[in-house]
Amino acid sequence: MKTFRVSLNLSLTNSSALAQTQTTPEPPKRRRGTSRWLTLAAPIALLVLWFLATDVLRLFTPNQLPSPIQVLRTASEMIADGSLWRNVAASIGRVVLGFIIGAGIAVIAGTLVGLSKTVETLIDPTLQALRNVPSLAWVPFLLLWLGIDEAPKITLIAIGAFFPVYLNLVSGIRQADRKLVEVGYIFGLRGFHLVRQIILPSALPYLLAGLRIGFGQAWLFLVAAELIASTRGLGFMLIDGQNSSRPDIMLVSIITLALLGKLSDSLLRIVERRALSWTDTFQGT
Amino acid sequence: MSSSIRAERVTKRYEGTLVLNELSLDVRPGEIVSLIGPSGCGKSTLLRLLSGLETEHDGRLLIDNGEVTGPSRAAGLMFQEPRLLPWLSVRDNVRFGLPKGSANAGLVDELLNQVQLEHAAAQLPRQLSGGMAQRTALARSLAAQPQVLLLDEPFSAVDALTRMRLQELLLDIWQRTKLTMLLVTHDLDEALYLSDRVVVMSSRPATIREIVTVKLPRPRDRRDAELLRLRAHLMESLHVVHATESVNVPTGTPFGV
Amino acid sequence: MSTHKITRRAFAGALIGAALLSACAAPPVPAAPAPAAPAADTAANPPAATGTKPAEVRLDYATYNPSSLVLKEFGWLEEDLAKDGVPVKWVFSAGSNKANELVSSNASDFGSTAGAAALLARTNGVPLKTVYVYSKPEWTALVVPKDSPIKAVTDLKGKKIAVTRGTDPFFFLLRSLKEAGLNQSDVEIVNLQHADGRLALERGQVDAWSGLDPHMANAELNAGATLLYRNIDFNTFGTLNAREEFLQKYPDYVQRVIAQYERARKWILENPDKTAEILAKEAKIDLAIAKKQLTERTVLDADVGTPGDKLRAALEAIVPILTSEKLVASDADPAGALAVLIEPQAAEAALK
Repeated sequence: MKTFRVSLNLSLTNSSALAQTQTTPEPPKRRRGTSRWLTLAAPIALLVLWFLATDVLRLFTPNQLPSPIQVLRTASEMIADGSLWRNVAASIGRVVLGFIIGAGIAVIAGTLVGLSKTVETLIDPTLQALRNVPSLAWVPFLLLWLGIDEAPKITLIAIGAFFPVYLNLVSGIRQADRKLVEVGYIFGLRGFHLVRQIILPSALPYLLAGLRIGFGQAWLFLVAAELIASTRGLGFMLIDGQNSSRPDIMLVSIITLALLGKLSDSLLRIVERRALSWTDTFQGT
Repeated sequence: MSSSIRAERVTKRYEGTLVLNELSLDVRPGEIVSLIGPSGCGKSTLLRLLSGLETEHDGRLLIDNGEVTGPSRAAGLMFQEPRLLPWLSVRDNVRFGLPKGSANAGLVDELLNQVQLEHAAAQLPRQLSGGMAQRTALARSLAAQPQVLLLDEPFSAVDALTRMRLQELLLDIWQRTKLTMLLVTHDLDEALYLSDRVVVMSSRPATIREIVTVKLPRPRDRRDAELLRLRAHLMESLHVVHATESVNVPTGTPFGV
Repeated sequence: MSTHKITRRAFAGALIGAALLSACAAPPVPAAPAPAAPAADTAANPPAATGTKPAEVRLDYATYNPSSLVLKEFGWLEEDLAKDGVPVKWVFSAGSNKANELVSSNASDFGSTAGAAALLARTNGVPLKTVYVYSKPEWTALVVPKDSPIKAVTDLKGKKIAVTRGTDPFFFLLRSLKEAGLNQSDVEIVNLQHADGRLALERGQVDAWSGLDPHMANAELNAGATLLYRNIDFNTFGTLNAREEFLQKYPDYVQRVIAQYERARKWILENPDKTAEILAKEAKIDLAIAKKQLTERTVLDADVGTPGDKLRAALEAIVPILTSEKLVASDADPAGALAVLIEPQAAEAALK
């Protein structure tokens, strides 16, 4: 969708003519107003359905599915006495720490594997096998080896964050354009400098996608981690609600998790968009 | 600042196929020499060997009497595609060409001026037209302050008008720096407009069929009768090359028709 | 404009919309539904009934309910119900909290819980009724590991204590703390199911554990753990609860289940050693542990059977704790729940 405006100048030796070729920038941004309402449509519809199913049509008993009003009331009580914030803070702390550790290790491992076929043959097959262990299957082992405090929880979250980041980074490095690598060679780049200046920036779109997915996984693994032997957190709230026959607390926990997950994803998307402003790719119609 | 280029009986094989067979060529300092010939006749290979991107060959390759052992700043190489780093602005792409550790902002600005991109210095490659991108690539190559400039069909991917402007630019730069240039091109007019000598090559394996000297002073008039005559001569030469090949070529070879 | 504002606005907009709607709609259903008009039961797997007999009867069995283990072992209930072609299904319960969940989600028609746990569930809207008391246990106490420096309940301040929330050990812990002048926030409570709590104590991952038999007896015998604090009155009986809908539809079947439970209870009194063997096998524990639980800490011949005043009195002590420790919703009514929890009719009929 670029348009050319070339100002023709019959004197071919007039070098200022060169300066006048230009392009117009990218297509106009989507109208923000309508899309925002579209985003709201589904949650509002769900809420209305929920309300109808509980308070109006009484399709569910309160112990099966409490009404949104009840859940709202419980949530406001938990906000008022600070317990919701305490649990949220505990969970966010774990997610962030676990993610940083997991993603950090993944960047190192992914870089090594991506750059070296030898390293790949050494560790990739094992990692691929471990990748398929589901979150809850790790829990008993981590509890056994690391106890019941923060260590097993952070470790589990780190495991969850690790794989998407690792896999995406390896892909990103492997798809680095050979043509650009040659440019690096020509200008004297070798080894570490070649990697830092050409290969890693090339892999950045993949890495960022991996980070986003990894963060989402971190949230999922957080809940698994908090289901066992916790005293605080949104996962703890979930299981506590389960143990005390308080489905309203369970719902507050789930909704809060969903909102936090969406929020963090949106924030990462913003970071991604800024960092990848240089890419020249299909943006959707 | 500018150096000679010498190829001495250079032989190169790709997977058993002979691409260059004892090719010898001399380019004097400050000379502009074009290589023309059929596709796949080894012209690009020669440039890649001279740039040090490829190193396996028989024979000798010398720049200013120093053997080429790998990529170095002595030989700049421009490709058909601009090959700009998409995450860097125009200015940063040009700066990329500077020797490591040198922060010669002045040179970058000067080069941007020379290629007339000072107003686009902050743009990203995806915002550039083909011509602008190639100019950036040229500035980048020059930032390395090479002794020779190797160009592999540098202007073939842009439209005719832009191509002419880029040729002007190249000459402009040559006037300032008297950089030795070895240019691979399919465009006969380009070869004749720019070069001191035009080397006609045949392929399989690549050998020099004929070298045509262009004695016209620069700047040349594209409509000059002498150029037209030389053009006809080159066409004839190429026609013969082509005819010989149609007879000799077995089908299914890597560089097949 | 950042996209997270959209989500916040979405939620806010939806909430406002819902609040407006609620102003026009009927008042919300209270947390403890009136027993006379229960809502339609649309849960996971309701048994399809033909006539007045259920398609099957589902019961839970647990290591803290020895009678259930005996029943399951000998198949007496299956025998009895086979006369009417009604099959029996057994589901394992790892604790009162799990049993409540089974009943709430309609995965079982009966749940074995501590009396306090049944009250908690009922207050929170689980439609169950206590129909039978199967034991008067002293099954919970505060446990500390061997050579622990903790000598009194007050020493627990600031310590880590493992317990399963929503079960009798949990209430025991709260009441013991209260008696010593402490409350929940003075200690760090780690939520672990009973068996995991014992492991945590033995591995030194927690300082104390509010335990439950047989795991507690296990810890004492095999790991030298000691009981820091005991109080039989803080234990609230082993109760059998029936799903309200099941009770309403098939009261005679509830009666028959209770009758078999009685049979099991009497058999246990006459065959303590054999019972210990059954318990040991099911719980995968040593015979000595099973014996300890059954002989020292389970009473099966007094204050059991029809649920009545003794149970009610024990649960009345629980009512204030439910509210003060925020175990129930702020608008819940534990006293009201207690008033409707106990349903002695079926037991009375069975024990006649």
